[in-house]
Amino acid sequence: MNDERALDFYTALDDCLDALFSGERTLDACLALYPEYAEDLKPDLQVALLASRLKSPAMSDSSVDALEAHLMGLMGDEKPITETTRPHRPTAKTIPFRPPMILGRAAAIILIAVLIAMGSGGGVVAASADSMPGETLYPVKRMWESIIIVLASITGQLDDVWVQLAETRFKEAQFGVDQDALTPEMLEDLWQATQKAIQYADESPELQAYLTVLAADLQAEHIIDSEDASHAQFITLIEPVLETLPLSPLNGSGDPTQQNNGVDFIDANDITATLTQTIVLSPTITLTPTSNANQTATLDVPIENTINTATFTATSRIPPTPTRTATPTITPTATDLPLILPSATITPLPPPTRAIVATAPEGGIIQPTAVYRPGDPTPIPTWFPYVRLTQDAFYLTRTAEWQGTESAP
Amino acid sequence: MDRVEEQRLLLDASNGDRDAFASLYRENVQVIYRYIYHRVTDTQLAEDLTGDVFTRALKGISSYQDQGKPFAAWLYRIAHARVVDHYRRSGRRPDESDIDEVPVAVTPNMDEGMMRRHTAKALRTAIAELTSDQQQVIILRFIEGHRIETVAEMMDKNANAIKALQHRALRSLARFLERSGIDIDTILAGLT
Repeated sequence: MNDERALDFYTALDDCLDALFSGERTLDACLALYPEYAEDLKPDLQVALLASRLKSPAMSDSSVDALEAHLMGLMGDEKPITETTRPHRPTAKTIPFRPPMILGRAAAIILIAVLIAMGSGGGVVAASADSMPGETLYPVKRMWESIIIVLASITGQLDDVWVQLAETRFKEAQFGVDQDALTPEMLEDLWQATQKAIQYADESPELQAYLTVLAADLQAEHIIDSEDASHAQFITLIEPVLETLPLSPLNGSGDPTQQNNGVDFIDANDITATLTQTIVLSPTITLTPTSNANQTATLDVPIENTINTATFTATSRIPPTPTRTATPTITPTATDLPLILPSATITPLPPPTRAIVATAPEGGIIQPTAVYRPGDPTPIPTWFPYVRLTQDAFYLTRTAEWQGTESAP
Repeated sequence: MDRVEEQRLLLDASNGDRDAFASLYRENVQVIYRYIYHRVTDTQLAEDLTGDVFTRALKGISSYQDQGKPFAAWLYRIAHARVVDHYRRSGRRPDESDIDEVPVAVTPNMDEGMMRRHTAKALRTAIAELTSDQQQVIILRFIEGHRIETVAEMMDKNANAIKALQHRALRSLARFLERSGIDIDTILAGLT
């Protein structure tokens, strides 16, 4: 089809589509109107008709309302985001299991196990596990996380995965604070992961443990600087979530020791959360015989049968009262150091003496290699002046080589 | 909502009027949700991304400049970017269908209802395998029912380019259905 004919064909196709959807013409009438293109038009029009009949799901009214309330909250609505108006947060139990293919899910479970084993083993992936934003291996870490998320969405383990990822982002934010390198992107990532964790693991003890530590850290302003405008949005986002926790709200006023339902004050460093998790997998196979002798096999893998136990330990602490501490001032003083000039002294050393030491092997005979006989000329030492410099003086050192002659025994 | 009313709401919303933004949100939320759903084929994910789109729209509304195009065109572009970003972050290309989405072969003993469901599933899978631009055209043109000029505005392309994209997308879908053993004539006959 040349360009001009193609353009004509596209126009004919579009004309037919408009006429078809408006009810002006039938498919056959369109084909009759453009007989030269009928063969190419037919499959396009047929598929277009099918596509137009695809059902489109609608967002539920509750989700639409919740999202609107969330947006209004972001716009500074006086009406705070409450539990009832917060965006829809389905619990883990309500997450729809999208893949109906049981084999696909089972395969994904196995694949996740393999991938986690790879991530905790050797290689670049394992090396990237502890990397932080800005480091070379950090993109590898995030890519690996993406793979785990996709697989977890198949196996229905997004609740566990997102809580872990939220904790990871939290550690990265803490690292950013320690390095004085906390960026808005790190806060955005922290919020996104926290939001996902809340969405998928609303009731889980792990999430509560994580949020408790996060809240305490925010309370102590370790991560968030309430005076910094760039952090204000994060506070806006996380505050409604943390209000449900048994801790004082962010930026609260008054004496902190009078808040928090019996907990005077919690320092983030004094909170420890011990988490234990047991995942019980009990696959069962059910065979259902039917009348025509075919059998249907159903593999049921109860992957949600997860037992979680969380133990929290918090230490109450009254905030320390600031006291004045005197700081000594040390002012260095400079004095002229004496000038030391090196002096040289020549000290002749005595002529070297020569000792011939021969060691015979056990039971062997000593075979001298050099013999000095009386009457031979006196050996003449050869001087090799060698100057050694020390801090105090110069020394002249001499060495001599023995001018002996070799002879047969 | 006509264009004049939309422009008034946009002006008010850009000045911080919550009610105006709420009206714009209500007018467009389902359209954006459907658009995203057909590209990610996951209701929960579609809700998440829809929320993301309107949150970003809210952040940018104060600097929004009306260029004579429908407000939805701007939202579609944000939604498109969010979907692309989602696939980038998840390390999965949009044309990689899930393992469970691959349709099984048609068998002669399928009843009409089963055949329709099978066709719908095959069609969704086929749409997911199209290029990003082709997906946009199919969704906007045939599922949302926009005219070619409107689709061109929304995708910031000229009408002829959209017509060509439309043909290539439809042709790809037809081939996919054919490979899946689906007889479109039979299906269409059952629908009428």
